[in-house]
Amino acid sequence: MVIDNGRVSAGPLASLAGLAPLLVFSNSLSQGVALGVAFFLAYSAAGAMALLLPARLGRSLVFMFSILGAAVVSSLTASALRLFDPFLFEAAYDRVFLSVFTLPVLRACVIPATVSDRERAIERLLWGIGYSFLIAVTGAAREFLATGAVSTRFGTERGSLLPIFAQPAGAFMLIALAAAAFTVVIKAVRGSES
Amino acid sequence: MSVIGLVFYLTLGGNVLAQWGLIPSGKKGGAFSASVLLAFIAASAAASLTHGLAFRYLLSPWGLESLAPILFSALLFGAFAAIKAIGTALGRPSRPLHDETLFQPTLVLYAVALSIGSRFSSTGLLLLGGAAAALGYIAATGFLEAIMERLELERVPEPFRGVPLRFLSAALMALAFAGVDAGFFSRLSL
Repeated sequence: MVIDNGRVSAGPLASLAGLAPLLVFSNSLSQGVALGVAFFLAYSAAGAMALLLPARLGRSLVFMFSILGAAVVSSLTASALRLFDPFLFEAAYDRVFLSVFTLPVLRACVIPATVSDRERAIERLLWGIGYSFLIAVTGAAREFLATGAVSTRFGTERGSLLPIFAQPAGAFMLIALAAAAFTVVIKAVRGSES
Repeated sequence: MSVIGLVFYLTLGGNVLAQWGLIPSGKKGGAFSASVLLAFIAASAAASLTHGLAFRYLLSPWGLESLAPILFSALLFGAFAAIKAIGTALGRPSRPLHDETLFQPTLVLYAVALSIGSRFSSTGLLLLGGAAAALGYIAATGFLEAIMERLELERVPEPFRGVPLRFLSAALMALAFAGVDAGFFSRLSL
C-alpha cells in the first residue's frame, strides 16, 4: 500500500471499487455469505488456473482458460446454492454469476509476470479470503443497520431501523466510511512507526 | 413499459452504475471519443440480445440457467476473436483480452446483459434495453467524474479524499436517481 500526498492510493482501497458490485448486493448475512463463498471459489479457481497452466500457452490463452475455469466453478456454486436454498438462488443468482467478471477475479486470471509474482500465490489466496470475509461482514453489518437484527435465514420477517442501508446508496455510504476510517488508521500506524 | 419509459428507467432507477455498484476507477474519466462510446453502446445492445436470447432459448428450456457465466464467456471469446480477425484483416492491431483497461467494460457488459436479459424477452426490447442501459452508465459515469472534478476544488477532510469521496458521491447519485425514479417516472405510464 502507498500513502501518496496523504492519501492511501493503492492496494485494498482500490480493490473496493472492484468488489463494489458484490458489496452493494450483500445486504444480509445470508446473501453476504453466499456471495463471499461464490467470490472466493471463483477467485481461487482463476488464480490456480493462471498459476498452473503452462506459460507456453501464452498470456491470452491462459487468461481465457482461467476465466472459463472461474465460470465453471461459478456455475457449480450456483447449482449448489439452488439445491441448498432455491429462494436465495432466485435472489442472488445474477450476482453469483457476476462474481466471475469482478476486477479481482479478472486480475487473478492474468498469468503472473515474474517468478516473484508466482511465489506470492499464498498472499493472493489470503487476499481472496479477506475479500470474501469483507463481503460477508458487509452483509451482516448492513442487515443490522437496516433492521436492527441479523438473521441466518434468508427472507425472514425483519424490523426496520435505518432502511437506507439495505439500498445501494447505503452500501456506498458504508464503504466510504469504512475506507475513510481505514485511511485514518493506516496513517496513524505509519505515523507512529516513523 | 413504453420505449421512453424504458430509457428513463434504465438511465435513472435501473441505472447499472447506481444499482449494480459498477463504480469506474476514474483513471481515464470521461476522456473517450464519440466512436468509442458508440461502439460501447452497440456492444452492450449486442451482448444483451445474444445473451438474453441464448439464455431464454438454450439454457432455460433445459433448466441449465446455472451455465450462464460459461455462456457469456463463450460469447465474449467469440466476439473478441471476431474483432481480432477483423482488425488483422484491416491491418489494425487490437488490444489483448487480458488488457486491464478492458476489465471494467467487460464487467459492465455482463451486468447489462444479466439485467436486461432477466427483464425482457423480445428482440427489440433486448436491443433497446442494452443500448439504453449503456447510455445510462455512460451518463452516470460522466456525472460522477464531473462531481469528482468539482470536489477537487473543495476543502474535503483529508481521510475522505480519493476512494471514499468517490463512493460518497456515488451514494448521493444513487439516492437522487432512485428518488427521481420513484417520485416521478414510475408514477407515469409513459
